[in-house]
Amino acid sequence: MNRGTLNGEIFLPENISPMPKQIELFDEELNVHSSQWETGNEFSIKNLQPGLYIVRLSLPSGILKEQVIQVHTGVNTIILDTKEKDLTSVYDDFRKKELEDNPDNPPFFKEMIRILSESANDTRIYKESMEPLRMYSAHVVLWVSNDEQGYQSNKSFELSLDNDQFVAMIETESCSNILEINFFSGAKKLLSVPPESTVKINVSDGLTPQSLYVSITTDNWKSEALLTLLTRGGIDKAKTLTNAIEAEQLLYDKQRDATAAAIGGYFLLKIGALDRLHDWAKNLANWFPWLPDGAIIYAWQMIRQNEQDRYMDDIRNYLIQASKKIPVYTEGLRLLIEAFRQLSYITERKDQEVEAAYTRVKKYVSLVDWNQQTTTLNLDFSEIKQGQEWQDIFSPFSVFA
Amino acid sequence: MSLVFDQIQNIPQTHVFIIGIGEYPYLTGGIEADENSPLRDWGLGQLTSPPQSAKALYEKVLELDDRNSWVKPLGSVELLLSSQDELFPGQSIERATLENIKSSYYKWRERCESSKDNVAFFFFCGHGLEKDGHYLLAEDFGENLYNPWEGAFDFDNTRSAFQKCLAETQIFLVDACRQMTNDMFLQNITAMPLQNFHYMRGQCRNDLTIKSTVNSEAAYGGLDQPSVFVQILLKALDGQAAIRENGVWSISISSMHTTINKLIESDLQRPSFSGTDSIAIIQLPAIPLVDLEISCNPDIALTHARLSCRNLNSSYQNAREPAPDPWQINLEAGIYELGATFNDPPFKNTILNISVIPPFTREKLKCL
Repeated sequence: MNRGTLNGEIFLPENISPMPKQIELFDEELNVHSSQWETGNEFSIKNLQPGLYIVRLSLPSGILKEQVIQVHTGVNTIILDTKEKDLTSVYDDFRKKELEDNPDNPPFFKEMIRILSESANDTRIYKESMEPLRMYSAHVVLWVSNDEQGYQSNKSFELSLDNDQFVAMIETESCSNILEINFFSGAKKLLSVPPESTVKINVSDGLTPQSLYVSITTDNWKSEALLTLLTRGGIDKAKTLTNAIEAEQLLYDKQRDATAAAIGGYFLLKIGALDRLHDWAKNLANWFPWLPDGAIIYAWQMIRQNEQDRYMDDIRNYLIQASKKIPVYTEGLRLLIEAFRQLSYITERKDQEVEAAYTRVKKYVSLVDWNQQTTTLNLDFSEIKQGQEWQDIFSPFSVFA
Repeated sequence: MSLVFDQIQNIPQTHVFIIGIGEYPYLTGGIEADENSPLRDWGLGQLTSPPQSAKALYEKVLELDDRNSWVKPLGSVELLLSSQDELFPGQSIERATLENIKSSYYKWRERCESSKDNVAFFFFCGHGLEKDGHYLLAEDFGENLYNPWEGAFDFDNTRSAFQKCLAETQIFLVDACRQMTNDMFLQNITAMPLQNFHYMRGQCRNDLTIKSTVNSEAAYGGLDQPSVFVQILLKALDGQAAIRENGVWSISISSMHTTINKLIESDLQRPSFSGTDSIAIIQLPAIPLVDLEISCNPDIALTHARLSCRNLNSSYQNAREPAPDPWQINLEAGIYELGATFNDPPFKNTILNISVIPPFTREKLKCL
């Protein structure tokens, strides 16, 4: 009865297409009319009063597209196509500005400009300054560790960058997995990779060799989306994607997917739903010793429950256990450092085992890129100063011994 | 006087503590600086931005109070500055020595303790150094050359200690460098937290702790201007972090986090964040203003385009004659009709409806 239905179709680049997408509909006064998460690429919103609306398409990493639509009675259709203009133009503009601001760009940088300028069919401004396009490559090594004996090389392969990104897939085992990526430029990144997963490694170009961007995702899209929101401070939005009961379920399903359980655990800690962690955080810590995130979540559950008189030894021991591997998730490392700092303070730095564990973590913490979801260390050779105690990071796995 | 705003009542309130330190008498260029001081090699001198940052934030806090925008009404503002004469004429603001910082901190903390629904808001801008923890330097840092750390405090452990405060909403913003000097490498840093604690502290219910830069990096500010971080913080508080929920424009802990991250991401300085759950802290009485940038594709069309902008929900309309640069407008959030009209080919006239929603909108009109 004088109402409209809005049917939508979403076109996204293939690599992000299966990711949960938030569709928000705002009325003309910008009130949120509806909000829903979709994993498919179609949506339908019924029973709309005719009028002007804004449809916003977001990925967990941010808003992708907003489109205004006049909804009439009957069926209305909207197509949200982000495949071309929206993604490349932002990229292109950013790099053009960088080029203008930095007339003495190194060749690497100019080449990147060229790639992106061409993708936007706009090479006229910078064409003369371009050098021939080079291929970029990276040598990748996957290190694994099942115990406290350190990491062993599991596999290695070469990647070539012949467009503005490259993607590789690896299967990880039930152990701690560290990915070492050595770029042609000498830059190196170490990434903690989720175990027991099909992991997609996505390397995008950067303006400099040091800013090459590497992201790690698994095929558990929902927990990945939740993790992205938690990392970016989108707790309000995270609560629309999942709720405490669903996060509790992720944790309960730990035998099926231990890393998704860890993400569920971090979410429950963030929103303070400690009772929903039950004993499952403890089980996660005990059953999967190669996943330090479990021990971190359980230690924090005990810290936040304010029963430290009873649990202080357990808190200490689980934190020490966690320090022997790199946490898979940056949030875990943040909590680990915070816990050790407090523990070191209240024990007046006299607990030698705690101090040794804390030192082990501190050795690599200054190299962490805190904006990444999975723990990522940037080993930029040029930043290393002689005499600094974390210099031995260049024997990367000595820090875990 | 450090309590510069006092409307304390027996209801849940927002209590603010602001510290801005630019003048360091015992550091390079300071009036008490010793030429033979080992601190000369630390690369720490006088700053002009922090007092400006503190003043700008203080004024924003009061402005929000004038508009009744604090969800929990403003109860108090503690303010400490190093150099105040020109910034607050006629007012005698206490200097930001470590003793004064401690004293103000205890009083502020006690106020925050009065209700779990209070909002605790802490801001520091000045010199910072980092080794095992992040150390913030008070104005009298270096007075005791045998132990200059007597003039600094351990921020991270102070933050941890405060987590236990009854106020469930705690916002801590630190705008200071996080680098280490060569001398620090060899030193045992003895700076203490402002408050001691004996048990590990879990995070409070609604925590937002932002450091304006990541570890090992510097924080920046222009001469005699609010810092890069504070300029972005003010934009966020002005409404760029606003979200509309249940018919009200509000700023929450989560929207502050995501907006500051978004506004600063194109700059070299990247903040670090930690936090827990979210709650609205500011409600805006009016529709927030948003920066809109309109340009043309191709860019050259701008020099031929008459651009127009009309709010589809109000009487607002505006236009601009051809010019080479994109058109920057600050206008109310809403739905707008943008237009580009041309007298000459090859460009074609374009009309497009767009949404203008905080924090900012950029639109490129296709003109070919």
